[in-house]
Amino acid sequence: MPRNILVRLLSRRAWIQRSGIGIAALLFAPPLRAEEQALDATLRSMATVTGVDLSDSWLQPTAELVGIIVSDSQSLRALDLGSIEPATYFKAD
Amino acid sequence: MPEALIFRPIHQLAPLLERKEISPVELFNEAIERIHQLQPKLNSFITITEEEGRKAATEAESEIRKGQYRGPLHGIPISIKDLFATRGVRTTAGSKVLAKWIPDFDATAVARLHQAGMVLVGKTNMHEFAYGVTNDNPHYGPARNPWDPTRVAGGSSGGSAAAVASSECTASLGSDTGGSIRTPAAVCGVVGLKPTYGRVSRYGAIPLAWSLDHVGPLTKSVEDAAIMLAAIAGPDPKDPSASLRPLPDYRKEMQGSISGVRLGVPRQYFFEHVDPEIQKLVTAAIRQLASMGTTSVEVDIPDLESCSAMEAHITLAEATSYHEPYLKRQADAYSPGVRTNLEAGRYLLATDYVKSQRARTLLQRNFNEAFNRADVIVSPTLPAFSPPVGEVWVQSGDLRENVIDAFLRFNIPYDLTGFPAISIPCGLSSTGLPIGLQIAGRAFDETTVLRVANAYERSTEWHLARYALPS
Repeated sequence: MPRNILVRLLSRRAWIQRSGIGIAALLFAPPLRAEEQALDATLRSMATVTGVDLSDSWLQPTAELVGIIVSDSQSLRALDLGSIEPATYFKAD
Repeated sequence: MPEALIFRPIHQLAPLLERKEISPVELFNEAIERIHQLQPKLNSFITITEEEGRKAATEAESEIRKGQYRGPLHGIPISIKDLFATRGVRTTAGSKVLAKWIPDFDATAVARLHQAGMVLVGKTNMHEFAYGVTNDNPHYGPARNPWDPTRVAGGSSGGSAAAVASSECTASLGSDTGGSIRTPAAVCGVVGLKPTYGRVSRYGAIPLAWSLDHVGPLTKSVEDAAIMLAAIAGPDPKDPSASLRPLPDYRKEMQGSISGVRLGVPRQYFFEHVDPEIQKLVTAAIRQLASMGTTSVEVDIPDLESCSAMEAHITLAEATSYHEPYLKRQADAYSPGVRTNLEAGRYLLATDYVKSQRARTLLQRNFNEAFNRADVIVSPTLPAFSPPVGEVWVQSGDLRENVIDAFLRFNIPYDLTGFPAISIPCGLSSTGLPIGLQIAGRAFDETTVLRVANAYERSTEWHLARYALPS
């Protein structure tokens, strides 16, 4: 991802994580990039899956954060984990 | 004029209490006076338990007089992060959601501290539901840094660190999911120990992420951390992840020489994008340890760049799972920042969550390779200093980054692996802000971590440094 876009995303993360001021800032933020709009639409379309219909005011910051995490997940997704199983403390007894 | 007792660490106070040279009530009174004096400035506490504390101090005094001394925590004023259930005492988790919750049980760690004879002085401020690194809490106000009250105390156990640093109590109980004990310990200039996952029961701690949550102490000295750990550690049938491994005698085994101990220094990742003053003082600390007979070896730990994504997927998924019922009933009671995190947790892929859990094993293997060559791994605890309250950017050397990213970076590898790690003071910046040295060890080898930390602490005076607040 180009550095300037990453910084912009992180900047939005900073707003999101801070407070209501951040949410307000997002509401008045410049128009979304095409991929962010697509993510908004994706999250909206998942209402039947999640059982939650996010209101407009929560949709955008949530989509922003999901977008950041997905962007940040490329190195994780690229890991070759072979036959490693997830660690768990689940016990059948 | 003699220094107030409340400034002293547990290991100095305990013998005086045992010999009846000082009274738990006298100590409690000093703590409460100090809390009332500093609460308006630092906001370390959400609830002050003056009545309960006075009763416990009086009981402790009576027991000690009768020769029923329980051990080094008997009569010691201790605070508890408001994340832990305390019977009969409001437990908010720093939230509005639980603002009126009065549990009818104690968390296991709290119950063990009561058994050890602690005097509870209050429930400390924290980031809402432990979901953040600054302790800038919109419901109860920010916990402020005793070294500079315009700055945050770090989080999420910020009130605990501020309370210990400012001597409003002698020690505190905190929790660490992404550095929440070590970060506030580093920025407030105290000792913070995250034990191995499974060493201390999580029962009764409001979860942030079950598989990452750790319980541990914040103290004035390394020896005090060992005393606290000994009191709270051990098996617990109420926590399925609690280990059955026998407990060593931490306090005894942490004493002694560190000559021949191998220090692993991971130059990549842990020393990149770090404030130059922090870099300089941590390097000086490694030199100091070398002068005591340790040897330094460079270690390379692969795949650390994936830690941030691993932590995000696990924390968001587990936190949202826990909070789902509350979100359904009272979503508006959450602050916007925490609610956004919780909403986002619904939209991540289950495959990424499972891959993150699998990758933890890979990360453990990578660290264990390094631990074949080193006994402990040393690094800065944080790459940047505590920011002013409300500021979300910090300067980490050549990198201006979000405070969340900065404060998680060097901490999360040890939450993901579950390996023990401690933050101890190793200096002050030119502007008088504390710097933390992180020492991590093999799984369940808290003893070596404590031994190296204790040797360093005893060879320097950084842990005795004081902030500018009234003494």
